[in-house]
Amino acid sequence: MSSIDVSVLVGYLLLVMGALFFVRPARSMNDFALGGRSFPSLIAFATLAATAIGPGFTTGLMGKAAGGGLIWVVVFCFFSLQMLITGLFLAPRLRNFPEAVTLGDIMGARYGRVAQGLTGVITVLFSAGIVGAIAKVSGTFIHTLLGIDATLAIVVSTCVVILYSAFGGIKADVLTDVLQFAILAIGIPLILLLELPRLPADFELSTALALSFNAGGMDMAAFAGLAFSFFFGEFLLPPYAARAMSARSPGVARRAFILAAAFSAIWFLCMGIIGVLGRIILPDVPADALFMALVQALLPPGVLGLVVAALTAIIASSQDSFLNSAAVALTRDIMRRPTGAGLLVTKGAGILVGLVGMLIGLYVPSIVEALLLAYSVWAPTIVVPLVAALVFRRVAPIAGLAAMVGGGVTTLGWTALGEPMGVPGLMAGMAASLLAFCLGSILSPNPGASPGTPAAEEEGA
Amino acid sequence: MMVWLQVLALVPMATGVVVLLSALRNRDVFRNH
Repeated sequence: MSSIDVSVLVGYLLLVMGALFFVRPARSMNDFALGGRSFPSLIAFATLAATAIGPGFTTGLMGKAAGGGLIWVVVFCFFSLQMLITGLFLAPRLRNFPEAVTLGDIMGARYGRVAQGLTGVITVLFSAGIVGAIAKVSGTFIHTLLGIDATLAIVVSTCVVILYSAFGGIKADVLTDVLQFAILAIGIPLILLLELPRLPADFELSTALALSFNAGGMDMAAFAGLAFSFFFGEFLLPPYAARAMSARSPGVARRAFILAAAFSAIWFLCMGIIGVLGRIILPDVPADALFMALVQALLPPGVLGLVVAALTAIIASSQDSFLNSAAVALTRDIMRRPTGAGLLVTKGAGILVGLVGMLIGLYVPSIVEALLLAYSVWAPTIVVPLVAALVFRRVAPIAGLAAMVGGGVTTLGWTALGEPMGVPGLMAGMAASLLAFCLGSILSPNPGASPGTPAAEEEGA
Repeated sequence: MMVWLQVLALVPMATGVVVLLSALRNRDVFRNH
């Protein structure tokens, strides 16, 4: 990297650090987890989008589209569709539980303490896994681009994220997310602008994009399975829910999700086209190494620094949000600390989850895979009972527990059996969860209205 | 087609700038009290 690139990168990192002095440490659980519920639409949208857009939604999609064509953009857009539906129907309803700080609180209010504890355990496990997995990816990127030792890069970058996330709480996360959103939204699409002049002169752009639409020959069943996974896989993950709960009003939460849905769809199209065009410009590079090759081949001095800064932004903005959710879930849902209690335990929990995630990312990648099993059981355990808790006035606690256990066990078992008949574990688990919920509701003698029953559909505008 | 792709790249970039300006205007919401 040239000295201009290094100054751009260092300037960006100093700006983020400087901004953190403005935040000051969080002093109460409400400040730490929800930031006093003060964020307006555009800020809530930016933090939501920055959290969702990790390496998988950027370089991951570029590689998939380079190998398999633009059909991957359609697959990824099922995530956008999920954000849209969540925004329209569910995110505002999270505000019907004014005492809730975590999703576990909502599950606990409707289905009892065991449900809250289970939600907390799953949240903490997959957050540690995600922090570790992202740390591993970031180390490789930084090593390739800057030539710094990968271990050193992982330790330094993750420790910075752990520190600001543990001390500043969600306000520090959201402020850095906003800066990170701006730099990633400006830096990464620049690659597309720089690709266009490099295409061969006689090149038929629209024909090439249409011809490579399904270059990998994905069949209907594979497409359906992937679409299902992208729709449900990240359904109301704790960091997304935290952003709905910390928005200024239910209406603001709804707008933030709708904007994030629209932005993510545009983003996916952009990444997909970067991948397909990148394959035409650099035909000899393997699909999964395409991003690095493009960055090194296309970017002039100065811009390279900006793109590297954008890459650190993509990584840190996802890590910090998961760390915040894990810290709060560990303290509230598992250790049952009251919201009024001191923050020492919460901050310690954040540091612990971050350090454990980082260390296993560095030294035992096989455990990262084990932890990411918790990520794969998120939707099958939580989605059915959570949606029911948000939508129905009366739910039976036993139905919620049955859905969580039935969905989780089925997913793990189905995956262990090698996904019989080609049905994804997620799909089998969701079906089992729904079935268990219905059975539990029918068999339960009298589903009583629980303390956290949503108020009438007062959602604000 | 070329023009559309340029627009496609510019939309996220413009969004980034708008978000940055909005954050500057609302900077007080980031302060922990």
